[in-house]
Amino acid sequence: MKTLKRLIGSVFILLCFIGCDPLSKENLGAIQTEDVWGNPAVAEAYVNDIYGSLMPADWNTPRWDDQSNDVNGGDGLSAYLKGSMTVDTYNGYDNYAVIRRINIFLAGIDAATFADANKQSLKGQMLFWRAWVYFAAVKAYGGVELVLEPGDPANIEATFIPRSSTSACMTQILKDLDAAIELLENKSVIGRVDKCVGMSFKGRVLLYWASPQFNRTNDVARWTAAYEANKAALAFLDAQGKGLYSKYRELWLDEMNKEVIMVRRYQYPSFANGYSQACMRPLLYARGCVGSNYPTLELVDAYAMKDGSKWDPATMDYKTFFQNREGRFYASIAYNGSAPFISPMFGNENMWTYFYDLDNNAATGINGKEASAANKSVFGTGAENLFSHSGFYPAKMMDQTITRTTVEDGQVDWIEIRYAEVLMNMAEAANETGKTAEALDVLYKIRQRAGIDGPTYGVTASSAADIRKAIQDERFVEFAFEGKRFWDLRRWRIFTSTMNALKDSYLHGLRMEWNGPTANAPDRLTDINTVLDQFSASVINGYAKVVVLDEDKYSFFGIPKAILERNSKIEQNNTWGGAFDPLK
Amino acid sequence: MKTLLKVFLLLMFSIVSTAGIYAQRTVTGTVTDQDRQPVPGANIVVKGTQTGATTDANGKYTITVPTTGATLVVSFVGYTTQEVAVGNSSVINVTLQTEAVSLEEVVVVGYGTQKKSSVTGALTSMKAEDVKFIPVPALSNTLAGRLSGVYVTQRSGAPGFAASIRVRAINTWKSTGLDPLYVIDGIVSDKRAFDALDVSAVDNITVLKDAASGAIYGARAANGVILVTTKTGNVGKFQLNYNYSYSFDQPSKIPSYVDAKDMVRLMNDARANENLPPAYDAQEVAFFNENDPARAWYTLAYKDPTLQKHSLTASGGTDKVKYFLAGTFFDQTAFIKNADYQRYTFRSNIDVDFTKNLKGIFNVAYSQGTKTRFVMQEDNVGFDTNADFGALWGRLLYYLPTVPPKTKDGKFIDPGWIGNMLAFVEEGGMNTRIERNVDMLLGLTYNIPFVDGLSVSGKFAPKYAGMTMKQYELKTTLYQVKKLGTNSAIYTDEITGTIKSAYPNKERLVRVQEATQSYQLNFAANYAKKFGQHDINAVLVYEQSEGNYDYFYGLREGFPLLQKDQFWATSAARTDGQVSGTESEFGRASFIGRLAYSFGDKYFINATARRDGSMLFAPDKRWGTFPSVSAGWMLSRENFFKVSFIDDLKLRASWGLAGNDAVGGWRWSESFATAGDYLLGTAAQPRVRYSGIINPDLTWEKTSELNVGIDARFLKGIMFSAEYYKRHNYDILDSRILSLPNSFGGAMPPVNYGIVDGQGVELELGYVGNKGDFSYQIKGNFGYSVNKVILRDVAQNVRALDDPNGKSTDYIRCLVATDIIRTQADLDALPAGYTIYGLKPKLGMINFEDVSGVTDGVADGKIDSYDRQIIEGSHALAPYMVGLNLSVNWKGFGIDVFLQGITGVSKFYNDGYGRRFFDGARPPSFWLDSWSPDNTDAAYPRPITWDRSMDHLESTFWLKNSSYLRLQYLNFTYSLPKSLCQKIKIADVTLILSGTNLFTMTKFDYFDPSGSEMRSYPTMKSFTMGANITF
Repeated sequence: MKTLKRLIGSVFILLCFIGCDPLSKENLGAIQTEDVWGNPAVAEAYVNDIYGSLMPADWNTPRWDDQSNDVNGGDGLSAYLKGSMTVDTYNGYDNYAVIRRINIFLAGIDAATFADANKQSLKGQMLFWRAWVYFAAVKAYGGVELVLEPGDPANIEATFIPRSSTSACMTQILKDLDAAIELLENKSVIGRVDKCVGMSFKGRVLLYWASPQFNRTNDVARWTAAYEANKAALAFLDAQGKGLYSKYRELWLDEMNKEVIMVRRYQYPSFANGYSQACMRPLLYARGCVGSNYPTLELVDAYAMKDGSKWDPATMDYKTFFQNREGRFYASIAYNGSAPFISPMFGNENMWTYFYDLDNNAATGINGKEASAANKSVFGTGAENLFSHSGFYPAKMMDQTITRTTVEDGQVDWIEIRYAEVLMNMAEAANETGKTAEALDVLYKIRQRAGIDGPTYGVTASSAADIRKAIQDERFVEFAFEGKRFWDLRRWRIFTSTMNALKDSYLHGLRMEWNGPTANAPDRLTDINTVLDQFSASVINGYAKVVVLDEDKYSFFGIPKAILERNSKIEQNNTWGGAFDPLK
Repeated sequence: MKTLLKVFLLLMFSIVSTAGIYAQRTVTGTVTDQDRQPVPGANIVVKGTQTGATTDANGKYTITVPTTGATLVVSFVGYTTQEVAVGNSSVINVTLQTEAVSLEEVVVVGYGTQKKSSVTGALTSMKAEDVKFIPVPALSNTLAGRLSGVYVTQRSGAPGFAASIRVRAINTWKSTGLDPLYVIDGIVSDKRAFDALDVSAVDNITVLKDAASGAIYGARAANGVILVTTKTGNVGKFQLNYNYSYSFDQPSKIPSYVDAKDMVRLMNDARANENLPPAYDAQEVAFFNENDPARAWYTLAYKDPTLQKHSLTASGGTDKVKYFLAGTFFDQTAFIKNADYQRYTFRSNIDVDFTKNLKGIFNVAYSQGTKTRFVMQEDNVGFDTNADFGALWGRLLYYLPTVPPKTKDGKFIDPGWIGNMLAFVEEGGMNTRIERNVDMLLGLTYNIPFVDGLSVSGKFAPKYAGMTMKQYELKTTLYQVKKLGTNSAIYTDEITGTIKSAYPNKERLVRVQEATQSYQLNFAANYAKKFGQHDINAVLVYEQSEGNYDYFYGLREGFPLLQKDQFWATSAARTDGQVSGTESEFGRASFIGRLAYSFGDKYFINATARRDGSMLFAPDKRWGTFPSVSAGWMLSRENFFKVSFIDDLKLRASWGLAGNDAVGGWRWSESFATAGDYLLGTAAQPRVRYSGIINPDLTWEKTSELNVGIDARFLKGIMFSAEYYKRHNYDILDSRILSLPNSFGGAMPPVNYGIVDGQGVELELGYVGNKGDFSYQIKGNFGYSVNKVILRDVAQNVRALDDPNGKSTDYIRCLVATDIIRTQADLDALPAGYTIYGLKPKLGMINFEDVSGVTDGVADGKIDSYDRQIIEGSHALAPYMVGLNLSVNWKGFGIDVFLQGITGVSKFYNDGYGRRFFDGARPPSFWLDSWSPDNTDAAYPRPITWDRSMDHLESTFWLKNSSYLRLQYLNFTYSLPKSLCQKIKIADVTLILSGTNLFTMTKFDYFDPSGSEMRSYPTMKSFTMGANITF
């Protein structure tokens, strides 16, 4: 019996051991719902996440237009320029996941348990981002499905909705923006959305809405609204101490200057995400990636002379194309013989992209090789390809400090909206509403800052049509590589005409060839001007001809097939064979 | 833990039992085999007691037996166990018979063992003895083709890489949650612990294939259960066994690439055809006609791979304590320098009979596996799972086709931005990954003395699985050399400068520590009793397990002092360092029961049930019940059964329900998670993101399965068994994303909705026989399995082609290639405006069937993704598998041959670089037979410069039958004659000479057909010499 008692005793102890429930566990990796709505710091972190998803970071300008091109072998043209664009080419439909995250926040923030004062700006930022993301879709496709509440997973049927009209979407975008502007702080820490950002962006939205892409009847009321919004934004920006930064080249080097309004900041290494400039540099100074942002000759040509006159390829010599150009040219374009502009070059060598008699034997006729320049670099042995067939590299926005092995850790900020854009937006709207003088005044300011001389800084336009053209040309160079050109061309509905106007419908580059003795070929810090007489220049073109479709195909993209497959209520745009009219 | 210890002490000391005292006498005798040779080391036990003895070197034994009614049980590995009644004899000689495949064999089933004759489910098993000489790094790799219905895929032959195991038809379209459950000595474990076992410590492996057999493992058994039993000691003499083998390996198949002279010719031709300037000038062409310096990438990185194994085991025991101890060492090197796998294992299994009724088991196992490998950028992610060395070895064959890796005096050449791959291998640093496993098992079984047949037991199994990784990445010094030729393709040895390699972007040291600690606790009651013809066996178990997982990551960059793989040598600046980590917890509880009943060894019924609770699911969805029933009928024991050549015939049927809970945790509970940071102002700010819509109804996936089987033994030596099964997998958990509009903006949480049905047939046939001095054995198995998706979400307007419903999970869809466009007439026959993915067709291109366009089913003169078709009858996974084993023994000589094959499977030649002609890399050799105006009958299309043809698209042109039959194993053994062994006082000496993976018959000739792609690390061909010595 004693044994039995002990046995029972031990079983009892075992039961105690079992008593601790192995199924009662905690999710150690998670933040709980009540933490989000009860703690303003967590709520703010939720908002910060939207910045990471939506703030543009477009360092590699896609080869969609005439400002940059990859002519490195292959045909190097995007589907937009090859004529092979389909409904699937542009996919801007992937932001609904972010919209859902924004809607979850907007649905919950009013009931959050922390102080109202903490809610205002957060709510304003989220409304701003919702307007931002819908505007991105509308400018691509016209009206899209307007989702303003997080869809209820228990009622899936209700989430199958058709596209709203373009005007209904614009109304909602402006409504969100107005509400956001009310709630936002006047001026926040740089990088965060504040009233400066909200008002500036509203000016951009209304400018698009007034532009031919949406405004086929040229309704002046829309231009007036755009004018007033930009005007109001400028007044507010001025009051907050914003303005044009005096030095164009340093806009991206002196970070957080007064011209910066909306920005994605980069800082390395104290902030983990540097951005990669690997693809934008000569391969000699880069790593494993090539082919982005090579300026076309079309862009190079567009820069004015220092006296404000136009560069005219018909009468001027490409051998001296780099002499006496305006300031933005030198800030933006690296060309054969240009001064060092990235870190390994300083004190060592200029940019050399010329071709020369590589085998030192005139009889073979081999001089240089296609798609590269035999760079007599002090860093290379003279034969690593550079890979800019156009003969140019971008100098604008390049991080001057990173080296070949740290090209992925650039820390130049991406400025999405700067004061100059708001000015130019205002000028365009002013011109369309008959305020010619105001428009010209903006062009003067912009060109003066660019270092152009003369009383009118080379601006000769006086009619509304000429000023419109002048503004279009000005935006091309002022905002080169800033991700605006493609959308501007669509907005003005001149994409097709601009691209077709290219000679033989090619994008072009410039080939500089050294004709002197190979041993004397310039290298290191040789002044290009001292040896220029031994160079010859010839215009070269890309491999493939540009083929463009009807302007209507560009004005509104087709809705991708995969999106249509998932919801029968969505109609395709009428320019792509569907029933939806994006102009309504 | 403390509580538990107390429990054991209490149990040990509180239970007292008295051994009976009987009158005794002595019996002696000799044990011999069929050849009249003495059998040393055989076990003799007095039935029903713990009294035992072992034969000596001459096969002689002496044992004490009770005066009356004693029976001796004589056993030895490889022989049929015999029982001999002692009667009045004092000398009993026993002749052991070589073990035939026997229905009296005991097999392991879930939570116990059963006589093979009473098994009613579908299970298959193998003895580790059969594979003990196969030189492979992981236990999984030995299973290939051995067991019907068990599909083993050796995707890579990289050192230390374990094959994947699937049991029967794949249950789901998903690529995760397909692993069977691993159970080691009754403790639920995992694949990693399974692969860490050395074969010398394993007794047998049993696979529970049908849901009825698996249901006793409940929510985790849907993919089958693999049960492993490790060895235990035998009562008798101390036995020491040492086994050593050394293998010379070589890659089974290396893809073939053209020589430099063909490369320059093909490339220049390809470019000329596109009006592009040549890639090589006359000087370069002349040079490469004579030289091929880039072949050195492979030859300099290559190293003859080797593999060696040592294992030392000791076993023995008295009637109170039995022990089995094992220590093993394994070392395998790669065929690329600086890559190696080493493993140590130790095991101690001790069985103790404390008293007549109280038994204890104490098992401890430790294993440590170390993978070391050179570091390279592409290989850093998933170092453990990416067994392909970041595809590096493949690149050595084609990447830099003109560049020599080193100058004549051994300096690494700078080949430009791609970097020098050989420098990574030789001087780029090291990645060392160490896995440590500690598994313990403490168990007590108490036969309750006052209830006959009732025993209770408790098992406690703590487990630790740790991983540490050290990654040490260095820059290398590269030398720039003078280059010749217009294209600078000719590298000279004249050094012009040096540069540090661009990768890694920063020199760094990374440490990763990962550890899982867990335990499993079981309490069981077992009741086994025979009442006349009725035989009852009942088991009741409570089981619980808990554990936690801990992950830590640390990184420091820069080596200001010295280059040394220690943190102290790295930069101390805070901006140069980074740490992170996560933790999680898990827990389960289960109640398990089984009732087995048989009548007259003729009718068998088995019923099991398990109630499983898992914290992976919401509290009200946590518990589920998994039942099974099965029955067997030994037809041959019926009186009316009078088929003389059939010895045994049994029919079986089973039904069961099993689950799969490998579905991730916490999706039932709403949460948010941090998502990195974002820079605002001058400070990084945290980010938080909603973790997604939850599904509080989440539960496990289920498989119900019906299995019918037949087991037969006829003509005294032929064993046959066959199974047919039909599986119904339902409640498959997946997100129904495609049925939502995109504007919903989120994935719906996974819901249990999908259905996949599977079915298959398995056959096993064996024959054991002997004639004179010959004994031979043939074993064959065959498996067939297919599945079909019954319900899976698709988008509203999807085309039939992309609708997975009604098709197998591995169906293949692609363009159908018609032929190469061989002649101008072919080209002219194409409709006006015909395009292939936007390109105009040209001579020598592959053309495809135009079957559809934007309007479904209407040819539109454009080849595009709408023209993809279902390739009927093709499978990406093999539906058929065969294994065939022949062994013959004659006097000490033995031959063992093992063939393994799969069929019915197709594979894309999926090398993106090889399939399209890339004028920057060395082309695969098949381009030698490519279309040209002079070779219009070529097997391959015209080499057309990158991106200017669509020949490379996945099409039937590149889809090939990848079935194969492989001579997996050929083994010669020679055992020294027993008489000679006795002279040198050694029980047994066996010499081994074997070859693994010697020969593969296949139509798929691009690369190793078992590899997943061209750059997958190929399986190895091994030549092994070894010896096995038993003292």
